[in-house]
Amino acid sequence: MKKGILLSIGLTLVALIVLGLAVLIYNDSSKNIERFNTLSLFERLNSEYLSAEKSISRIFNVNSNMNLSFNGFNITIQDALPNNYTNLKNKLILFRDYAGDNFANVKITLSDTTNNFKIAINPQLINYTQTPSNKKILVDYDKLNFFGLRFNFNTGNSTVGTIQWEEFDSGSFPVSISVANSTGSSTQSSQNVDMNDEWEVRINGLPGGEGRIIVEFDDEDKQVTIENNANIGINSKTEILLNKSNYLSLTDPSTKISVNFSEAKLSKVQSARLLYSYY
Amino acid sequence: MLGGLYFIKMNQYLNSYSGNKKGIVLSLDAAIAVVIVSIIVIVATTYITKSNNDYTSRMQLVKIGSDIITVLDYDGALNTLNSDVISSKMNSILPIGYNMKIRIETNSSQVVETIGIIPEDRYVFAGRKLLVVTNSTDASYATARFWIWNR
Repeated sequence: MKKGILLSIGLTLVALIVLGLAVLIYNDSSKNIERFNTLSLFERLNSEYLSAEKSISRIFNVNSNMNLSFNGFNITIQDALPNNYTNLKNKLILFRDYAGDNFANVKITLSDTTNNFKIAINPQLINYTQTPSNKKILVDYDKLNFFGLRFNFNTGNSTVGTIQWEEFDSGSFPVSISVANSTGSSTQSSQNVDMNDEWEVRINGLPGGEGRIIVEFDDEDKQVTIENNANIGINSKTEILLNKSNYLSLTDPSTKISVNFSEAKLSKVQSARLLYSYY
Repeated sequence: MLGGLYFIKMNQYLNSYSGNKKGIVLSLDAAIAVVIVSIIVIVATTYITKSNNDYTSRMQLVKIGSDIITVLDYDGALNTLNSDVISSKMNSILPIGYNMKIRIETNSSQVVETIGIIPEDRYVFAGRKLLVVTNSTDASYATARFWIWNR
């Protein structure tokens, strides 16, 4: 009799353990439903965000007359001087409206619809700005996060002019300037300059206006300005030799993408990346 | 009592041959044990069956759907707005065991759709993407919708 009772208790305990495990599995499954819903919302949010970002990058590639590329840690920005961003800005406005009409949770904010265009280079915190007044400006807010600059200009059918260093102190920062035209003529000049002092180099002898391109560095503002004072359009290639980092991104800080799933309290807001790379 | 008692009593019964009364008690005891154990097993099975909704597999569906539409976007297949090109590329990268349908609608009301009937008897993950369709000089806007499900 005693043996029977013990066996019965044992069997009951085993059955209860089985029941307990079943309840645990059921509870875990309930949490899985929550996890699945959250993860699939994350996936949707990320997918919609990246599609908006990719779309803006494509609009930029087709309408900006600019070409951005990476070569290791060197960034190359090719554009014209002057450049016109009216078409790009108009296309971005149309895209903003299209996204707003068709994707209730996607919002694109354009904070600058003027004819300026700014690219932020991160994480080096360098800004590259082009204005309608034949100028483009390279600004490094905090400190010099790049260790070399190369400028290539193409004057098209015009003469290549002559490169003249107006003022500079010798240092360890390499600056290279080359000018070519469509007939195959070219000229080139390089100097290692001191970035603790201002420097200026001119390309003289170009047609119209003051007939020159000026590249100058202001050591107080940590700002390089490239100014086309000739009356011709010039194709320009600026290569920035950056210090190493884990990733590089070129963003348009005036175009912000916001994706918001308010019911799940999930949202993502970020400036549109035009090009990025992880190392 | 439960099964353990049943076995003990069965043993006693076989040893003693002591008649009908013991047999009835023994049978009743065994029946009650079977009922109790069965109830516990049924309840446990119900819980386990309820939990077996395979959310890992669903998550896989979500990931595969998003990845495939991203690949088609990045390699330019969606940009062609040609359903044959999109279908061909989609089928070449879609893992075995899944079906997918894509529908693209541009801002000029052009609609491109791959062949496929969305089932109603199983889980279907649906997603959408903003799309810019470009040629060398211009860009138009579109919405790409996709549905993916297990075969």
